[in-house]
Amino acid sequence: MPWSKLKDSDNKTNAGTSPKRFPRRSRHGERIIEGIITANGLIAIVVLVGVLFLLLRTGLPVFSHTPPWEFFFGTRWYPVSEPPTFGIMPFFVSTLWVAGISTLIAIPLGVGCAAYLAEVAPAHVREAVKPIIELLAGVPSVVMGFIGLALLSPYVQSLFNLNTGLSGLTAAIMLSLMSLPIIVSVSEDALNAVPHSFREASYALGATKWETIIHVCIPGAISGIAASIMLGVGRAIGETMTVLMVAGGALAVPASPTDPMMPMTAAIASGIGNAVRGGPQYQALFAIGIVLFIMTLFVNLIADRVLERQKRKFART
Amino acid sequence: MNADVFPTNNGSSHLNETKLRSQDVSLFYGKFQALRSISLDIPERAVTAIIGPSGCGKSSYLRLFNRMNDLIPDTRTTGHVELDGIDIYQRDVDVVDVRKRVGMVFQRPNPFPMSVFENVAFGPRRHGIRNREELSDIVERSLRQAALWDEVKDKLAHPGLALSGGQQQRLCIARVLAVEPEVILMDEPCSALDPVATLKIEDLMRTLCSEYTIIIVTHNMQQAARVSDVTAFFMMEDDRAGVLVEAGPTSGLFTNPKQKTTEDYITGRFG
Ligand SMILES: Nc1ncnc2c1ncn2[C@@H]1O[C@H](COP(=O)(O)OP(=O)(O)OP(=O)(O)O)[C@@H](O)[C@H]1O
Ligand SMILES: [Mg+2]
Repeated sequence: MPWSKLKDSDNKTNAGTSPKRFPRRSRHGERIIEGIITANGLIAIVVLVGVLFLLLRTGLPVFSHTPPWEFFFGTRWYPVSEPPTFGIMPFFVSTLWVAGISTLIAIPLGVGCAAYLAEVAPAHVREAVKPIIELLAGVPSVVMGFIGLALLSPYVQSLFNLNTGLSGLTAAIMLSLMSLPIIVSVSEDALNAVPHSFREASYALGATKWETIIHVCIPGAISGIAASIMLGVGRAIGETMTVLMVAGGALAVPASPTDPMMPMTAAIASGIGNAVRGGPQYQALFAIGIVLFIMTLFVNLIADRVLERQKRKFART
Repeated sequence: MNADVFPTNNGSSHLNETKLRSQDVSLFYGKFQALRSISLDIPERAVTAIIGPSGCGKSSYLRLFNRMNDLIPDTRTTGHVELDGIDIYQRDVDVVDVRKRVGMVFQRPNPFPMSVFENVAFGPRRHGIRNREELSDIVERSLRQAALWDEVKDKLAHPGLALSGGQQQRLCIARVLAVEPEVILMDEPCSALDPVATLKIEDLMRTLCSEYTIIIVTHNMQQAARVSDVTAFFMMEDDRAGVLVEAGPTSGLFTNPKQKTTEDYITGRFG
């Protein structure tokens, strides 16, 4: 291969002039490592394609008994009645409510926290708070579900005078806590990447700390912050156990955030146990999986794009 | 030293008052003393150049006048720094007000990642001007003053970072002028620019000094000789603390330095 030849000749020319600056490494080991890394990348792609293929092969046949219109816009999900109906509107709307509200809560909280950590907090506070936030990321979702059930839902119930505290809002609040770590850490990185010279310029023009954060730091980091929010949204859409436990699990199309609801993930998780393998309900649940997959893929793609832009933005400075 | 006795070399023959005064000022970064007992008067509406070897505390000294050193944790200032006779390090002085009156241009052009217009409008907006027309007027006036208007008048909506380095630096000057300061501090404003852009900035400084008090830090001796009315030469002592060796009218300091160190430095025999 020309590549190895090139390397060889490089080694020779360098050997005479500066042998210390270019120590000869074992090329064998490097090859193996390169191979492992390449294999990892390939495995990821193979798995992804495999998952997509499996989803499509199992899920798409749903349209043989339920027309797409009925599937996507039908408001009734009665898998065991005769004939069964598979309308996913209740789940879809639930997911939108829960993910939307959790995002609305998580944005100010997460960005505010990131701005505090990156711009205001003294070093020792930052060192103390960061591990706590990372710890929050490590709490198993079933535990977050318990917390929602035991601690949060009674409050939600009495605050809004509900029959049950298990509602979309309860789930959204728990989800916002769960998407907080990713929003805080990615936003904080984005804020730290804003060149210090912008802050100096702002202060030198007589801007206060607050004005500098609002008008210089956050706009300068906006694409990274947007990406962090996308990642948070992705998490909120995909989270299953917590919403299964605290969202209430009602099958009607929810009209208000305080209604009990069943987001798409919860619908799949609760239905898959009773579904006959390969049967119509099984197919319909997989089709919901396809919709979820596309939604999260979309959100992640946008996040990637936006992050890429952020990197290029400050290339000149 | 007494600034009142220096006629300026910008053609006007009046004797300028002292605008800024540092009296026995020392600056510490933690335990490290960066400046030792500096007393210097800066004349109004003139260009004062600060020269000296790298690390002697020129930037640190400059940043005293708009209290930018406050942003660095663990710094301590002793002595008096006066703007129009008022100590700006007093407790009841509003640092925002000081920075409005004492603008700063940095070594590397640092326009915000916003449009040319928004860059210039940034200061006025922060100080409460909301009216779009008023802002437009300020932006145009500042860009004209910074001799940049003709080059950017059709690109006001373009990103400031898309301009050339020299244009960016003039944009930064326009951004400072928009706040209508009384003093402009410049820390090696031309060190990232080519000779043509450098000359433009120097011309600009000569024009601006009829209205503004300018202090410029420069490593370029010719530049100091070209643009400044007064020159101050800084050196570091054995413990690396910066001291003021000599200050005086630029022509006198360069042709007839009183101190041996100054002579060695300006003739390039230093170090
Ligand atoms: N933030 C800081 N923390 C600690 N020490 C600092 C800091 N900034 C500067 N110093 C020290 O203070 C001294 C003076 O630095 P300063 O930047 O003022 O020098 P300068 O004359 O502007 O140098 P140059 O010509 O290279 O720009 C140097 O010894 C420097 O290491
Ligand atoms: Mg400096």
